[in-house]
Amino acid sequence: MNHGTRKTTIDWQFWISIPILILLPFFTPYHAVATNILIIGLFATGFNILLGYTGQLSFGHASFYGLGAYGTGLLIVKLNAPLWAAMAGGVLAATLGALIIGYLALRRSDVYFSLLTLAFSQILYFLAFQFRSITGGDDGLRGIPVFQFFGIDLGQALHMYYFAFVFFIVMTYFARVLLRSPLGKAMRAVKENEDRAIACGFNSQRVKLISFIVSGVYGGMAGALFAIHTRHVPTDLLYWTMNGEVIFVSIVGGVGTFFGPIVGSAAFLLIHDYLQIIFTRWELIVGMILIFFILFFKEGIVGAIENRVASNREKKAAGSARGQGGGS
Amino acid sequence: MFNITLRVYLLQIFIGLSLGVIYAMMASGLSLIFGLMRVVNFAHGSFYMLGAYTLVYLISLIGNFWICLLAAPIIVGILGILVEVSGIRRLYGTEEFNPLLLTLGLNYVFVDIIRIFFGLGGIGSSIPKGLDGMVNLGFIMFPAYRFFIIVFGAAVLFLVWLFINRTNLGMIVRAGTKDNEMVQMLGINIRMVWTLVFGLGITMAALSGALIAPLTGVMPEMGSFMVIEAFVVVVIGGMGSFAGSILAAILVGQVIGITNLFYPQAGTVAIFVLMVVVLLTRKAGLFGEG
Amino acid sequence: MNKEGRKSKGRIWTRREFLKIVGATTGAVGATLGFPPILKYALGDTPIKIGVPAALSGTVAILGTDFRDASILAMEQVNAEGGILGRKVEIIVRDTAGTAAGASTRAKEMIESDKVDFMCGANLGHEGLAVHEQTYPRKIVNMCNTMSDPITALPTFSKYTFHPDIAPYMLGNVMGRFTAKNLGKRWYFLIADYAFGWQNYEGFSKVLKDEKGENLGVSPHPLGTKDFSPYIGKVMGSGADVLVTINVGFDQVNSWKQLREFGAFEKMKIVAALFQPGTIWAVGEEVVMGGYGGATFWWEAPETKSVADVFEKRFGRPPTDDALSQYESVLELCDAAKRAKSLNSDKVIEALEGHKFKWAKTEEYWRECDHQAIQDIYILKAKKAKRKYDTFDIVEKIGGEQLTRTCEEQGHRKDAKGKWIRHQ
Repeated sequence: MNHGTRKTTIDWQFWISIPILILLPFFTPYHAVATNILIIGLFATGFNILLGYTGQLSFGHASFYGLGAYGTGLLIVKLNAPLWAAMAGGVLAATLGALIIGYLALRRSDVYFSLLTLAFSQILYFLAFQFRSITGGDDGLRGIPVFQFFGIDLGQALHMYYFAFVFFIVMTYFARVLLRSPLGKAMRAVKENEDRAIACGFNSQRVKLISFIVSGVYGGMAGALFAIHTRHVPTDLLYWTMNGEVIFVSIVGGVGTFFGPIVGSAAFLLIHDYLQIIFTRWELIVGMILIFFILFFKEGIVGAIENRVASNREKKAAGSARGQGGGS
Repeated sequence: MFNITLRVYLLQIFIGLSLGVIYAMMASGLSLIFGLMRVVNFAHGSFYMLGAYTLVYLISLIGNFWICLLAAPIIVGILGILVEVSGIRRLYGTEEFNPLLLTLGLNYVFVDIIRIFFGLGGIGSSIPKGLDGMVNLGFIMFPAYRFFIIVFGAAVLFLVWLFINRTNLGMIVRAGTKDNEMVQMLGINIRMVWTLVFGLGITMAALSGALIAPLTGVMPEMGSFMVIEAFVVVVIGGMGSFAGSILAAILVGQVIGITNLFYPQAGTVAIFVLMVVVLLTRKAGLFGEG
Repeated sequence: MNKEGRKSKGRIWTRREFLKIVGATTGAVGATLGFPPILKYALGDTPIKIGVPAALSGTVAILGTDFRDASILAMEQVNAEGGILGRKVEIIVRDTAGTAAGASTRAKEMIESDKVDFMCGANLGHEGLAVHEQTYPRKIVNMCNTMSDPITALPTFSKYTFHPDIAPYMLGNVMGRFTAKNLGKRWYFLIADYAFGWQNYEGFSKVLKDEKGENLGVSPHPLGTKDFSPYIGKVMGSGADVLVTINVGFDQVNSWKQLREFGAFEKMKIVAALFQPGTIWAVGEEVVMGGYGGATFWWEAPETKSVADVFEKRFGRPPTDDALSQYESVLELCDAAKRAKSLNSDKVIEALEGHKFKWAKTEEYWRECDHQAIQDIYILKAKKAKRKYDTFDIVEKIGGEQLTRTCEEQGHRKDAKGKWIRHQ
C-alpha cells in the first residue's frame, strides 16, 4: 500500500473522535468523570508522544502535571490572574520545567534516564510539600474560584466538560499534525533504532528533547485543567504514584496509537469507578489488568484492534492478488 | 547544631550502618538482576514486604525466630522464581521496559492480596528474646537487635560476594553480566542461571524485610517506597556492580543519617539529589558499566 | 500473655491471637469486598441522602471502613426513630482512595449524580478540604469531619461547612498545657512532616512560649517512616526534659517502640499528641507504657462506653476516634434537620449554630463564628489492661474555647449589627 496516498485522504480518526467526545458525558455515570477522562487523556497524549513515538520511558512525568496545576493555581490565588493568563502561565511553567529536566535527564539513556526523571519529580514534590506557606503543602492549594464568563459557568459539570473538550480537541489536532510531520517521523526513527537514526543523519538528542518538551506541554495543560476543575491542588499530583497512573493508561490504551490515550484514560477511570463500588480492593484488579496487557496485549486495546483491522485488510489484499500488504 | 557531641555522631554512624546493610541487601539483588538480565524489577519492594509478612506469620505458627528467619526468605525466594518463570521469562527479547511494567503491576497485586489476607492496618511485631537490650560498643550503647542486623547482614553479603567471586557458578554470573550471548554460545544454560540469580535477589530482598519486621512491624505498604530508595542506591553504585551497590548503600545510609541530624525534612529528597549529582557526573554510577 | 520471668519489651503473638486479629480484620475487609455502599430502603417517599466520602482503599483504608460503619450505625438509629420529617435517611459511601483528587471526584459524583442533600465525612485533611471546595459553591451543608486547622479560618471557611473533629491546634494546646504543668518545660519535638504535624506543633509551641519554657528543636520525619533510628540520635542528645511526638497510627507506635529500644524512656518523659486506641491496642499497650497522649474519645469513658459497646457488638471491633466522631456528626446533622423542620441549608445552619449536643462524649457545642465543635480532649496514660480493651486511664479532661484559636485570630469579623461576616 502506498503511504503517499494517505496524506490526501481525510483524517477520519481525528474527525470521528469529535462527535464521540461530544456525546461522551451522556454515557458516563456522571459528567465530572468525563472531564477527568479528558484531563488524564490529555496527559497521556503527551506521554504517548514521548513513549509510544519516541520510545523514551519517563518516570517523572508527574512533574509537568504538577507544574501546570500549581502554576495555574498560584497565579490565580496569589496574583489574581485572569483565567486565560493563569492557564497559559501554568503551561509555560510546565514547558520550562520540561526544558530543564529534559535537557539534564536526556544526557543519559534507558533506565538511567527514567530514574533521573523520577528524581526530578521527587525534588519538585519535596519543594511543593515544604513551601507550604506558598503552596498549601499537603493541605493543598486552595482559593481557586468558580470561573464564570460569557454565560458559561465552570461550576456546572457539563460546562466544565466542554471547556476542557475544546482544549483537548485543539491539542490533539496539534499532536496529530506533529506526529505526521517530518519531526514525527524522526521520532519514530529514534524509537525504532536510535543508532540507525543517527546514521541516517538525525540529531537524535534534539529529537528526543523536543519530544520531551512537547509531552511536558501536554502534561502542563492537563494540570491546568485539573486546577480549574477541582479548584484544589494537592501535592499528590507530584507524588511518584501519579506516574504509575499515566503509565497504566498508556499501556492499556495502546502506546503509539492515536486513540490509545483517550481509550486508556476512559478504561482506567471507568473501571476504577465501577470496581470501587463493588470491590474495595480494586488496585488488585488494576494490577492484574496491567500484567495481563503486558504479557498478552502489549499493543493495548487500540493497538490490538488496529492490528486486527490491518491483518484483515492484508488478507483481503492478498486475496485479490495485489502483492504486498501494507503495514502501518 | 553544634551541641551535637561526638557520641551522637557515633550513634548516628552506627544507625547509618544498620540502614546501609538493609539497603545493601536490597540493592545488590536489584543490581544483580539488572546487570545479568537487564530486568528492572519494580516489585523488589513487594518481595521485601512479603518477606516481612512471612516472618511474622511463621513466627505465629512456629515461634522460633531463627527458623523463621531462615525459612521466610526461602519461601519468598521460591515465589520469586515462580514469578520469573511464569511471567518475566515471556518478556525476554521484547522492549527493555516490559519486565519493568510487569513488575509494576505485580506491586498492586501483592499489596492488595496482603491487605485481603492480613488486614488493612498492619501487624505489630517485637524483637525476639535474647536480642532485645543494648550492647556496649565502648563509646556508645547501641540496641542489640540493630547490631545483630549489621553483623548478620554483613555476613550474608559476604557469603553472596564469595559466591559471585569464588565459585564457578558465580563466574558464569559475572561473565553473563558482561556478555550474555558469549556465555550462551559456550553452551551454558543461561536461562537457568537467570532464574537462579532472580531467586537469589528476591531472597535477599525478603531477608531484608524479615530482618526489619521485628523493629517496625509490618504494613502492606511498607515496600512501596523502599524499592525507589533501593533503585537510587543501585544507580549511585552502578547497575550491575555488586560491590558498587554495597558501597553505595553504605554511603546512602550515612547520608540519610547525617542529613537527619541537620535537616531532617530533606532526609528523603537528599538521596535523590545525590543520585542526580552522581548520574550527571558519572555516566553509569560510581562503579557501573554503561 | 506473659510467660514466666520474661522481660517482654513487646508482644509476641501466639497463633491464636494472631489468627483472631487476622480473622476479625479479614472479616471486616471481607465485608467490604461485597458490600454495597448504598443501602436502599423499600419505601414510598424518596429518602434523604447523606454523602460520605471515605478512604476505603489506599493507605488509610482502615479509617474509611470506620467511617462507613459508623455512618450506618447512626443512620439506623435515626431511621428507627422515624427518620427526618417522615422520610428515611440513606447513606451513600464512596471511596476516595485517600487522595484529594479522589475526594474531589467523589464529591462531584455525589452532588451531581447521587444528588445528596448533605455531606458528612472525609478522613484526611486534604480530602476534607477538597470536598469542601465542591460543596460550598452548591450551598450544601457539609460536616467536614477531619482534623484540620484551615477549615475553620478565613479564607477557606464557609458558612455551609461545620467542623466536628478537633483542630490539631487544639490538641497541641491541651497536651501542651498538661505537659508544661506536670512534666517539664524543656521540650524537644519529633513530628510527622505534614499539615497535621505542623498545625499541632503550633499549638504546643505557643503554650511553651506562654509558659516561658524552652523549645530545643524539631525533628520532622516523613509520614510513614518505618525506621526512626536516624532521628533518635538527635533526640537523645537534645537534653530535653520532655520529648513531644506528633504523629499518628503506626508512626506513633513505631517511634515509641524504637525510642524505648534506644533507652529514651529512661532519659526523658515522652508525650504523644495523639493516642489512637485502635492501633495501640492492636500492637500491645506495652508500647506506650509510661507515656501520656491525647485522645478525642476513649471507649471506657462512661459517656462513650454504651456507644462503643453497641458498635463493637455490631461490627466485631471497637470504634476508633474517627468512627465515633462520624457517628456523632451524622446524628447531629439529622437532628438539626429535624429541629429546623426543613432541609433548607440556611435553616439547618441556624439550627446547628450554638447547639449543644452529647451523642458519644461529654457535652459539645458549635461555636457560631467558625462552626468548630467545642469539646473536651482527654489525656490518657497507658495501664495494664484488666479487661480486654481497658488499656488506658483518663488522667485529665480539658475543654472549652481556651483550646482553640480565637474567632479574631482566624480572621472572622463582625459587622455593624453584630453578626458574623460570611464571605462564602
